[in-house]
Amino acid sequence: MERLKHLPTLRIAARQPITLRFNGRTLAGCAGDTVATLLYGSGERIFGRSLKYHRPRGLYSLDGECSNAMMTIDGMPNLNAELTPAREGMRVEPQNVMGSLKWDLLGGLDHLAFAMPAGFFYKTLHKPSWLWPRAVKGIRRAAGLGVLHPEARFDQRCDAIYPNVDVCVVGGGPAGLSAALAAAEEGLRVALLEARPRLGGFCDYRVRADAQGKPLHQWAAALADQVRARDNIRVFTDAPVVGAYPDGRVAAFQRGGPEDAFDLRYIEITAAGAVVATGCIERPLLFAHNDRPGVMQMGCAHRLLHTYGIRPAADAVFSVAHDLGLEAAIDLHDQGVTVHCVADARTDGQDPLLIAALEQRGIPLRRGWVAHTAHGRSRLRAVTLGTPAGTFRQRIACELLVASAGLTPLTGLVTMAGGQVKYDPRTGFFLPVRLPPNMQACGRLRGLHDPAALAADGTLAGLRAAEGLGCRPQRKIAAAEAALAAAPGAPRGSKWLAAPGKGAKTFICFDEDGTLKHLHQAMAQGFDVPELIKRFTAIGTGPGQGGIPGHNLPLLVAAGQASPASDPMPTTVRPPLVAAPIAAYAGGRHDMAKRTPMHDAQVAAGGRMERVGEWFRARRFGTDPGAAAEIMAVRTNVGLLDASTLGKFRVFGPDALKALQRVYVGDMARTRPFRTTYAAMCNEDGCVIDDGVVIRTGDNDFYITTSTGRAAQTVEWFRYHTRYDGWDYHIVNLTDAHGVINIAGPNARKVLEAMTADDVANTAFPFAACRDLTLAGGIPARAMRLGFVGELSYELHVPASCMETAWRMAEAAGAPFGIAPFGLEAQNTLRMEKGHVILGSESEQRTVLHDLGLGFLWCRTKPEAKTVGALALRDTADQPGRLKLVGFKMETPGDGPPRDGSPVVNGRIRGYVCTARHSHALGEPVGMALVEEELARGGTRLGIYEDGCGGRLRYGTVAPMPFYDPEGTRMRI
Amino acid sequence: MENRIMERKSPVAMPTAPEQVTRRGDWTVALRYGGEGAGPWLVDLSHGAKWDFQSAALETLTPWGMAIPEKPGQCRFAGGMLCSRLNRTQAIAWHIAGAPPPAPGGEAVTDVSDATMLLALVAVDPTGILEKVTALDFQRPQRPWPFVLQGPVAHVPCRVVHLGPGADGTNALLINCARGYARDMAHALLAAGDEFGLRPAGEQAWNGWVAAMEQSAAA
Amino acid sequence: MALNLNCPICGPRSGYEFRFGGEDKGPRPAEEGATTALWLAYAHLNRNVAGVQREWWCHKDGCGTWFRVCRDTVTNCEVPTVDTL
Repeated sequence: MERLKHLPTLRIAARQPITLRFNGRTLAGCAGDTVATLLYGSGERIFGRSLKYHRPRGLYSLDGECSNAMMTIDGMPNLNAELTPAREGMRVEPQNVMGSLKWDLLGGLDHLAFAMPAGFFYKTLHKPSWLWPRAVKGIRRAAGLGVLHPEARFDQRCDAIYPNVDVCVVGGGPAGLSAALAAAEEGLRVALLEARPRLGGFCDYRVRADAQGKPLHQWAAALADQVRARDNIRVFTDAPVVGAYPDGRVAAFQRGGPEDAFDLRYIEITAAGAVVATGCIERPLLFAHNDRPGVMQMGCAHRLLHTYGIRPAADAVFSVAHDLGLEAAIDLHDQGVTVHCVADARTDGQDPLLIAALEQRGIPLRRGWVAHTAHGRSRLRAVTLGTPAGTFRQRIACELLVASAGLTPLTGLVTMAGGQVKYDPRTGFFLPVRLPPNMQACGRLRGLHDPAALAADGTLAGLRAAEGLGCRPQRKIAAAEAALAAAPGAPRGSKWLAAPGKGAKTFICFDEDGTLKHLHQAMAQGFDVPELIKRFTAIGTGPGQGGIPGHNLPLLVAAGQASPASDPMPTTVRPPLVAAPIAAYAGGRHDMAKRTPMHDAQVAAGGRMERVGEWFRARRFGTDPGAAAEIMAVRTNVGLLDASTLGKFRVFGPDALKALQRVYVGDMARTRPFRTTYAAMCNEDGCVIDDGVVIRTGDNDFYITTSTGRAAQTVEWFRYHTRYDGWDYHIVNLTDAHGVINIAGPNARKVLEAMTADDVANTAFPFAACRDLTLAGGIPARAMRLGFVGELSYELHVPASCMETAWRMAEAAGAPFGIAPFGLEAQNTLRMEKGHVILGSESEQRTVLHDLGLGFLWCRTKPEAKTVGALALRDTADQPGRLKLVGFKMETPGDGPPRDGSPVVNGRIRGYVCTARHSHALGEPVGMALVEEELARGGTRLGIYEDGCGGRLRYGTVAPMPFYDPEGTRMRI
Repeated sequence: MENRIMERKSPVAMPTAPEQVTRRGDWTVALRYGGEGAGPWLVDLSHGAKWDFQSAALETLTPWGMAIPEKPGQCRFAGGMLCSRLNRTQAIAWHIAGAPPPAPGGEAVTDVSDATMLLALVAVDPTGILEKVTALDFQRPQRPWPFVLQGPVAHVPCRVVHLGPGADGTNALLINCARGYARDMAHALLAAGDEFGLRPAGEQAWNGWVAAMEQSAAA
Repeated sequence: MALNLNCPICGPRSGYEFRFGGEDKGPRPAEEGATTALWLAYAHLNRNVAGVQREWWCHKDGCGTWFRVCRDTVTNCEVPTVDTL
């Protein structure tokens, strides 16, 4: 179709052609088109099929307020063609179509609509019970939107920005532009967000003259130019806002063009003040078959013509209720569309200039008349207009019906941020009555319409926002107030709801195929609140986010209620305000993980790295899931473990000991210089939250280690539990400062001897001691003799930057013995054989110190202690009914260990397996379980249920721990 | 066993290898990267010494003859050392330029050179890069340079020092976080700066910026 | 729900940077002679007022300071410090 090329409001490059593939055919449009306008301009009228009834649907609005134009574009389903810029070579497919767009195989469902009343899904096909699983498959196939193919891949460039501004203005129409300018003139940093590609709002496509005789589009463009010229206003176009929050944040996402560095950008603005100037959308006109292709909103027809140069049809009928409709009729006429008739639901109140203009063009205006029925199936053929009650009717053949019941302000951001709206009987709108602190609302959102009023109101809002941030523009405020008072106020709005009748084909909600009849059914069943009706009928729960039914639903509910005095209540608006791609939220996020200094060395050695909390750690080296070779190396020879993720802290200062006494349950006064003391921290409930070693390194100086998972919270924990005390102590987090390697195995000393000239003989460096050594090359290392894996072992804490050198040194020193690195899997088995617990594996939220057999770590008699958890430890010391940690062996060892987490079932569930592994040292599976106290006695038979065991329990027997080297001689050699 | 050469390593891994390096102490320091251009630059300064000062009486400490800034958020830069006050009882000092200083003594001091990584971001307008990784506001309230902000960058708790505009209006910021995050932090910053032409740069570029800033401050 | 807090060191920041530390219940009770009920009350029983309460927060992603603020639990906004709570 040939485009109009000489309109001053044209926003397309009519001479830059673009082609795309739609449903297998090549269609042409031009640069600046959306997919929807390109299709419409190419003559396409059916855009898709509706969710339930497979009714043909066409272009209705241009701002994505309903799912009519949802399509699969380049393999990505559910994109709204109205919001997607057309690009060369795009592949566009319609959705929910069985057969062809025009001849849909399920089109007959429309005739079965009577069988699908409101609440259909809640009530029908549930009995007998075998029916539903079958029925649901059929329903799923027939209903729905696009299909995501598993092989589809999307290579969108997604990122995120988090700008800080003083004032965030939402909406780039006349009010928003004026607000941004006013705030910027006060020297503030301003952000302006506009959902459409261009600034100017509803003036961008209007040729009508303002009071000074200047066409509105020129006036708006001049305002936009002023905004763009200011370097303290950041303008974001194509950036729909998804939410505004009580903390002053405004979230939006932006669609990028080929020249941008992104396709999709999440924008989260931190603003001290906000101005909401989101304007209005249209309130749909309700009549029979109001969803037929060929019925569209007044703004849609107007913008198709003026913005995109497309004559929407050869001839048209208007059924509107707002001056903008009259204006659109005049403009369509002036561009060669035959306008048969304009029905205006209002009996009076029209702009006399517009009435004169209609008369001058010979377009009949029927005051108080509305559309009753649209005729035709896949295309509109005719429309029946009539008086409200239908007493007088007239059928007019036409291609296009421009239908609109008026406007509805977009107040979602106001209520989302904590403000309130109330029904205003004059305008018929829900208008803001209470705004959140630091938020202003202005423009059409407040019911205003006249351009001068919008500009003055916007200026005022911008100035008030500035005033809230400490600016003092009092004189400007007074001037703006005077200008606003002098301009026309909010016009009276149309109250027209719907033509009489059952409304079986009068659609309130296109997305969910929700009709007036559904609404009446819901109300007949006693639903009387819009919130509940919305959920029962699904009206307003579709991808359009309630854009189409949002205003009509509460008005209809109020009108249908017994008490005529009750105010309509809108449903709650929640973010995202417009359908937002999840990629927009996820896009800019980097996966931030920690790596130890030996990360690369371990990867090179075949380490299988896994995320463990915030860290990457080596699970195993090689492919054996049980890591048998690594385990045997430690038991018989020597192994090397990266334990750098341990929390490490220096605690010092005059009150350091007091702080340690507070958080550790043991008596820290008994710690001796350069001796390791195993110590535990509990929470107030006596549950173990952390264990590690404490080493006294000076009078008031301690070096402590914590478990990996607790490292990030340790400083916070200390400070929290001493927050009332005012103690003078300090903590330095050295977790990342020191890498840690554990050299473990009978040959560990020989390896260490090769690494240092210091005396590391058993006499000079006995078990549980700590020594500051110097490794070859002058590397300082704090070494500890610990026994977590049950063999002779040295834990070396080395400055992180030297760690890789130290690791290679250990590898070289151990090479004569065949030293091998071992990972978490091997460590897990090794320590389990020793009965050593890992918090989180052998403990859960309820596990107190006593349950783990670690009660000896608690010192009851600490002088003047107020120990976190001590009172609970006292109360639970002999408490019956607790789960206790036990060791167990299997009755049939050949079947291997039970899976971790398997429940222990003796009559009923009485515990669970924590960790169970094959013990290479013992040649049989062993494990640890938390079981009820009565089962904890040695020799008790435990029934273990495993997934897929088919009801046949496996049996284990409670066995003494440690399983391996119970005397602990091997770690003391 | 033979006395191995000790090699100290920065946790930061830039995507390209430097064109020119120097050996300093046990470190291999990148002096120049290919394609550095005129900036913006990302420079790894993790090899510099870092010290943590914690005391109830920080005002009595004068490491290198330098008084520790009085208020949290304030920084002081002198003799290649940048000292930042973090809270009521803690300050941190980084060696970021010039000859290495002697290690300060005393109970209040902890050597934390290896605890964190340190990256310098040098750009005429760093806002565009920074706002892609952090919601921290470096412009409001207005503060005298240099100043430190503590908060999340790329979701990781960081200390960020804004050194201010140097000689020619080019700004420099130092980003400091736990060492383990270094690789991902450098990656996140380079990815954020990609559209602005952010490139890895060596110490020469950084020293040039510092020298120019010191000159203009003296003048 | 979205929340901003004023850190005494770092100034106003997003609530996501902080960790909640519970109501301000005063120092720990002495262990000597403490009953189970007393421990329970200290560790777990809260006033849960609908209105202004004083509570502890930690600027975990920033300076690490634990501090007390008054917050209106109805509006979820920080309010100026009230000493009489």
